[in-house]
Amino acid sequence: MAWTHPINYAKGALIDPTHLNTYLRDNMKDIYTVIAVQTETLLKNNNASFSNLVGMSFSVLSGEVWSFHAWSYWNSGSVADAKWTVTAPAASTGRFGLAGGGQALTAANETTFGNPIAIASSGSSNQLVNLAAYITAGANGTIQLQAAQNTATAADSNWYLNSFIIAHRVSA
Amino acid sequence: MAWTTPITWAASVYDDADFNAQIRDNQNFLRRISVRQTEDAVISASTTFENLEGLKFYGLAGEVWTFVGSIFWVSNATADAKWTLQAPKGSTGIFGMGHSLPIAASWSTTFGTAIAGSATTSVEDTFSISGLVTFGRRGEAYLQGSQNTASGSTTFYDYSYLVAWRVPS
Repeated sequence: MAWTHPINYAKGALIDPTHLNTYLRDNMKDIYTVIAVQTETLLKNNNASFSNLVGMSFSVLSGEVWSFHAWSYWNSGSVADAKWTVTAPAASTGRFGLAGGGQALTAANETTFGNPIAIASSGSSNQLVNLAAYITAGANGTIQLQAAQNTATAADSNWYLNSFIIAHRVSA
Repeated sequence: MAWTTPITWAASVYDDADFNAQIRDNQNFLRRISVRQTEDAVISASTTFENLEGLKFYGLAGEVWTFVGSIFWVSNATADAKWTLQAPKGSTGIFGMGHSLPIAASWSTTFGTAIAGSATTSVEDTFSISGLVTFGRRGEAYLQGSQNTASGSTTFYDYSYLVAWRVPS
């Protein structure tokens, strides 16, 4: 759905269904935005297996193209560090990555959904990364953010609730 | 205020429920606020927070808002810089930032807590900010900035900006 610049309406002009479809239906679909909020804190201890960041997800249909930014609030020890991934429906294509708060990156972008992107931890209790992705969905399904310790370590790592995604469907 | 997939309009008769769902609710769903800082905030040898004029958004009790944005600033290697988000009493949430240099504490869940970043001497710099606020009562959430250590001059520039979205209930 492409954006059509809204026209100026003149007094007495006839508004027919074409106008409503172009300037209401199609334009609203064009600017449709998904905001998905993490609803519970994920705790990992001695565990490098990915788990869902619950709530950090949105539904897509086959062939749709989406981009998103996400802000993930986390902490972890400087041995465990942290990693994230994006899972997507089968045959999806695109790229996803992260930018961190001045820390070393192990792998900052990926084209294979489910593969890790990782960052060193400063050891601070409060850290934040910005994740981003551009995805063409290969099937109907869900885009989901996941996280885990990068090195399984017997200490707590947390990914906090109220982290969020802002996703936009890219115009066809 | 849920999103309803827009219908295809036909030459037909529609009632108030149609227009409320298709226009009122969907446009409320899509609404976002984009604001910019309207004047420089120049801080001289002070760690007292000052408002970053214009960087604010309004919410009603119980509403949930997310925001992202950028704060443009310059300081010195002694003063560094800090910012915070203030929100109405009873509000909950989280706010933080990314920066090109390591950050001691990148986020907080206590509104009014300083988020500080180091400055490289007189280099023009940027904080990438984000957050989520569940409003405890109606009012404004607004940004403030200051020096982290009182020294010399620090400027938070106009045209810093934020974009805020109301999270659908």
